[in-house]
Amino acid sequence: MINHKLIVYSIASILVIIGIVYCLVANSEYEDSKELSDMGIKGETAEKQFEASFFVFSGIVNFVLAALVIKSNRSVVPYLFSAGISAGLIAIYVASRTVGVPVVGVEYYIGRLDMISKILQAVAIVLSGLAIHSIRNSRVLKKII
Amino acid sequence: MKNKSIQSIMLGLATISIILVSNGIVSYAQTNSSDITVGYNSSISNSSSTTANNATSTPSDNPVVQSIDAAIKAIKDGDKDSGKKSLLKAEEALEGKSDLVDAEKRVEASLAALKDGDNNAAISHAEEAKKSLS
Repeated sequence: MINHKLIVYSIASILVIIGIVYCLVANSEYEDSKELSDMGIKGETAEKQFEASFFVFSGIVNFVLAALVIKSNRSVVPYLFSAGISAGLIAIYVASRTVGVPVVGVEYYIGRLDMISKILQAVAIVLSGLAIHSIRNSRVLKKII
Repeated sequence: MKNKSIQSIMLGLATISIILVSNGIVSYAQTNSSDITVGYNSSISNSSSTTANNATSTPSDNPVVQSIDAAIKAIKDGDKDSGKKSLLKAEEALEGKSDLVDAEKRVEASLAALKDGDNNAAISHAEEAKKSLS
């Protein structure tokens, strides 16, 4: 039997780390945008600002999800959101490195922080699945008893 | 047992957070130090770009290719600031040219790799940018 509390804290921890990673990436993009703005490269500056805003938003979403996971009382909803949003962010990343995404287009470089966040998001998806499985199992057991 | 597991997770979280934040601080410090040296290096960059052009076996008339060549040479020589400056010059020249988007994206990738400390990837993307221009 998997310890549910352990899964909850693991997911919350991972979501917080992902949030921190996104904030670091956003900071890096903001620094880049300032540098490009100083050089008068307007198009790229706007792109970097958009990316920075997107990463800040993603970071905040991850922090909120971590709080919801901790506060959830055996509800599957926060886990569904965690898994769905993590999967969505991975899909957007894969698209940005292959077919391209609106505003940004195709990016060719895969950075260290990108890899860390994608691995952690994959782990968050797996753990969310385990949490949902654990909650459903306990509900079935309650019905039987 | 439960508490011990939770404590371990929290300890792990704290450790990873410290590593990530310290990485951010280091990169911030590097950015700042490069900002300080940009002015000083501008003259060096000009001279190194001239040197790079002389060293290239098939010199190009295209100023973007010349900037990329200068960047590759600077990165190979370990002069990241000059490399970055030359790449930004190339980026500036490619800005808004819809037919050269691929080269622009390669230059951006090279800049990102350089920032990440991955010199080999920076050179490889810069070479790809040159290929896109030819």
